[in-house]
Amino acid sequence: MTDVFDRRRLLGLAAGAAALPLLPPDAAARPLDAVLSTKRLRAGINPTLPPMGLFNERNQIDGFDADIAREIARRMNVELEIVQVGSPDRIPFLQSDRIDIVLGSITRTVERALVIDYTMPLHTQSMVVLTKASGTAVPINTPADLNNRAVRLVQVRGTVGVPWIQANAAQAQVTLLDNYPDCFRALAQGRADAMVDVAESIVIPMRNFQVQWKILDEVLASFWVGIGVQKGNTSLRDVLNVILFEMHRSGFVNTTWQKYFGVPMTTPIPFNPMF
Amino acid sequence: MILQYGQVWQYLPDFLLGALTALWIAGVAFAGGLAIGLAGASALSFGPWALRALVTAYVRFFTYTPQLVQIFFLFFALPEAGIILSPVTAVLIGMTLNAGAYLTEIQRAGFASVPPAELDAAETLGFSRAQTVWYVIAPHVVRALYPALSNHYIIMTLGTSMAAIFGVEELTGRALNANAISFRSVEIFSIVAVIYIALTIIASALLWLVGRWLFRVKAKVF
Repeated sequence: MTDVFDRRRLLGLAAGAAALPLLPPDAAARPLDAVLSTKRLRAGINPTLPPMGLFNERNQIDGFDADIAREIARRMNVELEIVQVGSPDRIPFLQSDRIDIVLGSITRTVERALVIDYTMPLHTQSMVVLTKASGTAVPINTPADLNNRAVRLVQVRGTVGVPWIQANAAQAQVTLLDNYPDCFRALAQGRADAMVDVAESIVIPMRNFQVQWKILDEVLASFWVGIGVQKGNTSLRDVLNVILFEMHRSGFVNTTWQKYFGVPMTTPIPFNPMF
Repeated sequence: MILQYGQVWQYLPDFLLGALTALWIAGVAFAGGLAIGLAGASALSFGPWALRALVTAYVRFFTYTPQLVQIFFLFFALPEAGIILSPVTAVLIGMTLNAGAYLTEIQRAGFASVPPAELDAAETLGFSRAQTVWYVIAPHVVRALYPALSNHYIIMTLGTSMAAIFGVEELTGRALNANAISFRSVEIFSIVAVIYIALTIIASALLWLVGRWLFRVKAKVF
């Protein structure tokens, strides 16, 4: 009989698995000096989060985050290199020193702040309930309606709505899908009744689906989104903070926001020189 | 970068539940696929022309298109026709039909590998068709195909990771959830890799037990 596994193969696999955590060695963060001397700032942007990151008609990465990164590079007098990142790999990209900064709706949380360093907030997010105007199996008119065993929710994996549901609508049935288009499709097809997510992530891409959407008025929570840098890269972070302050003061952030959303931020960023 | 495994051990029980889900989904789909494959291989070997054409079309369709696309169709296209399958149902049906196609091919090859002399001998001894299949072909098929079948089972066990896309909370899905919360990607995915290796070993061992007890195949697993 042929072996399904022989011992050597098995040992090799086990050794490979054991070595896995050792693979990314101490890839030291590129401090400010390295960015300046190479004259290149590498920004990780997720193009699957329109309008924060998107592919434009020339198939280049564009969007709010790209505009912000370009302005940061301009003010630092270095060239910008946009690196495409996805949701699960953006932090490894940062930690293995393939990018200097990471954007893409990275909501500030304590758990994440243990792993990366954040700049001061770039923008805010407001968590809302999305449902259909045409009505659902269970009527959803207030966020409290979600806490019902008959309510089916659909969420993108790892988004901030998931812990909110666990705390506030624990009775609802939740299906976690991979991305926003899949969630909108599930809602459109009647697989789910509602979704809890930040308005900034849904208002633009939901237009691709021919559905009369309804967003409940209540804002369930506000979140703060900064730019991520590798843990301990304070020389770069400190400069970014000053640049962000100036970009808020000059109105660049708000103008760019309006360009992509057509409306101001739901939760404005207070003007604060102390950071 | 210093790895902090202490921050992620809290997810381990959750990951192990996900591993269990992966194991049973693969097990059920493989068992279903084996049954479909046995029927398909019998049809291809002994069936009339029309049935052979039908089975061939099924095998071609499911082996020439990716499993992911097949399940995507079940999960996102069928609702347009008013049929809404739950995540687990869609994944189970998709994986079973896909496995059935591959296992038809594998088992047909096993049927073909029976030496004609043995079939002649069976005929000489006056065996019926059913007796020939059971006493001559089946033992031969099981012995000859054991490695191919167990390989396919392991591939299916690892392949359950795509179920995360369709909302099944198996190992990969749970890893992605934990990763989004903690951002400790290297720690999480290295733990998950080790669990997948353990799953592969468990899957091989399960098949070894089945082969040993049901078919008396003495396969060397490790």
